[in-house]
Amino acid sequence: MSQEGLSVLSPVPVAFLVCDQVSEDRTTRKTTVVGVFDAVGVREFPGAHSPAALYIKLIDCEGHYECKIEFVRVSTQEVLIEFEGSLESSNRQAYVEMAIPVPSLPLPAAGQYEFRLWMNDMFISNIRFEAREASQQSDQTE
Amino acid sequence: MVTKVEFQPLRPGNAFAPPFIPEEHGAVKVSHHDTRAANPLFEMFERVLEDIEARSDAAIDRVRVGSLLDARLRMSQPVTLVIEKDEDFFVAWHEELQEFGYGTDPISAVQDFRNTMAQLYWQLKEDQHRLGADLLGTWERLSTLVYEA
Repeated sequence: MSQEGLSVLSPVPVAFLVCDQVSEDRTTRKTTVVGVFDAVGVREFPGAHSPAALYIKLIDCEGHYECKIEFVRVSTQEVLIEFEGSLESSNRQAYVEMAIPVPSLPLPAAGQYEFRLWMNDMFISNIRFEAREASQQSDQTE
Repeated sequence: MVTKVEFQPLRPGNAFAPPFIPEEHGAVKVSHHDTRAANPLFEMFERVLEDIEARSDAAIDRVRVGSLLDARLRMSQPVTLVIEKDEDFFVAWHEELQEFGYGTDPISAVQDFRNTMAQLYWQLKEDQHRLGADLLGTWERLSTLVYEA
């Protein structure tokens, strides 16, 4: 990632949530975050989890940012999925909100997983959840 | 004003590509039955697990951070932390400030550093008129790097 033209001002995370889905009301432009979770039950490993989405709210963004989100298995530090995007903000005082649907999450084994947010090669924040073996009766998301 | 950004996955679903092998296969089967010599797959498992461990250790060696874990504080410029493994722990180290954070993985160490720096800022600010030479130097460096929002 080239540093030319990129802001050195580090955004400050206000919220970073992993959930089932994020939607926006077109009339009020309010955002609804549905099904926030910090653990998932998986019938057998290796497995996968879906649906999932990320809700991120930041302040102190000014200029151009190249963003990267990594989905990482914590015990091995293996990056399982990467996402990239960019954003532009002209008002440092304004909140920046991101709603990111993610594909089916690969879960090779039980344990902790995390999403890491990087902007202009700066580490901004992370959010973790745990994948557990589920009994047949239990909910898939906790 | 709200800016919304949509991301596209770069490498979706490649988690099961080689050389992934679940940890429990190598560890449990081989050690319980002592079948190292008889099991031709053992050496392959061992090599792959060593490779995963090596990549794990080297996964992150430097992390740039530009904010602390305190919404009242901002940083005037990002700093680069060096990540080192110290037996079972990871250390996120900032050489100029001589400050560090600990954690069981690199990102936990970085988060500990961000928390430690915020606590240090408030502590040194409160005590700034009665600090010794070393801590006064730390405060002078820290107060050029960190400011209140």
